[in-house]
Amino acid sequence: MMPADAMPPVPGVATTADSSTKRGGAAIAADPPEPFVAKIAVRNLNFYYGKTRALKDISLEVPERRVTAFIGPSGCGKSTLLRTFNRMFELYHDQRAEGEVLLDGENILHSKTNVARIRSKIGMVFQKPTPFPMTIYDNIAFGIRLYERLSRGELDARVEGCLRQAALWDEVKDKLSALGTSLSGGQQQRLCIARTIAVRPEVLLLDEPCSALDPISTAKIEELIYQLKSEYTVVIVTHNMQQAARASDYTAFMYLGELVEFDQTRKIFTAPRESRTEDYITGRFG
Amino acid sequence: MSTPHTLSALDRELGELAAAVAAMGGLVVDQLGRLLDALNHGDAAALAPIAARDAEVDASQAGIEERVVSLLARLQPMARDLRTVLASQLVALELERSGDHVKRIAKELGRIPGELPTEVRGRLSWIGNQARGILQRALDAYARADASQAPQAWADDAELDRFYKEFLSDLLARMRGETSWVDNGVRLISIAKSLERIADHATNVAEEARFVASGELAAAHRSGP
Repeated sequence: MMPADAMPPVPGVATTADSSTKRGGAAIAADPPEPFVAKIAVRNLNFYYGKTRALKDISLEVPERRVTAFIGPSGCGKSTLLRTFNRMFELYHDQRAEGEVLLDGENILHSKTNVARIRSKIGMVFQKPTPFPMTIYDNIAFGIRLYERLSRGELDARVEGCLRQAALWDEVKDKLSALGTSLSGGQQQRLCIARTIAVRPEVLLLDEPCSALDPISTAKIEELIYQLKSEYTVVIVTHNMQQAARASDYTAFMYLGELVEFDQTRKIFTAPRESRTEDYITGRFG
Repeated sequence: MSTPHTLSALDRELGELAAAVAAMGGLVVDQLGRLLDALNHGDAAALAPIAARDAEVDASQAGIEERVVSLLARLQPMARDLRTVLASQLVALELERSGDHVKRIAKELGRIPGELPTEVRGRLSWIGNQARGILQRALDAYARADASQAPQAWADDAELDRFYKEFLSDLLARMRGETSWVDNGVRLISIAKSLERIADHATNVAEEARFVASGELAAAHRSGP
């Protein structure tokens, strides 16, 4: 385990607890940070859309096998930050990142880093469900076939396992040959999560995964996130404050391309240290 | 709150909640004031109405609890707003318990036959006024979300505790020397204890003010009922 106070300074992580004026009371705001293993370490990251600087010197540690939420108003850079984690931005011209994004110590942004390998380790699920125009079974099997040669029996077992992990098996086990696009929105999103974990990634990036879903489907996805964090490092971008509070262990608040505060979710939502965070999460922003 | 909430209903309901807590606090402080007046003037007739008025305190607490549950369920406050709502419920509980002590004292005083010796009345009155002062200042601090009052409340409460223990010791000595004093002595101990407990609840209110202002949890400071 890497103690947080052994790391370079991270915005929002307190390194000392001042108890000089307290008489035995617990302090939310001054609790020492929980030590964690950093799965992804962002170092002095800047991001540009053409000449526009969208991320400003971001430094952040994403804890392993925890859920980290990125919150902030539209345009603050949270989705941009997420898309640097798998170099998704490279699909668009005129976008560039400077700095480091380290996955287990390896710089994802380095030009010699194999993007395909990185993307097999870091899966992503988007705001709108994006099932492939193929059967439910093939939606899962497609990615597996790209990376592994399995017997039919092994593939069947793997597909079933992924659908079970995504809490979808019971709903689709009798119609695996139906089109993925025939499912409801919530089911499609869980299918996309199942498809993502099928290639056994280490990190799951979820970009507003519930914004198009009804409350029950949202609850199912949140429960799924809770179950998945025992095996995966999960990073979720969400506009839904309650969702960040419910589903994440750590929260980063971003504003105008800056990381304003990063801390344990329970602290961010009960006693944030920065007034800008306070104003945003209480709904007093601007 | 300096910046208005985007959802005006939240600002409005937080304001109403704060007003309800302030009104309940005012009621309890008033009850305690009336009780101390009755004690000082030996006004036995005033005691029964004071005890009866505790129902009003209980109703205020129930109303605040209802507001808190509704506010949490519907408006889902966060951060300082969340602390304010949680603290309101706890402050109301401290006030309700203080109200119970006032009622208990009123009943005990009513059971003591004849007049209390001036010296006993004076010492009880000192404890009561000290408790009332701590409570009033704690409620003011709570209304302002002022964390700075909490240490002073603890210091004032410690002074009250010392005075209370001295009084208790003198009372027990007298009870040992004069068996005719035992009945009254037991009642006076109960009265003094209740006044001392009101100060404890007041200190907890000051701690809730600190919690709202800073996020420091008050639980470990509370001494319980």
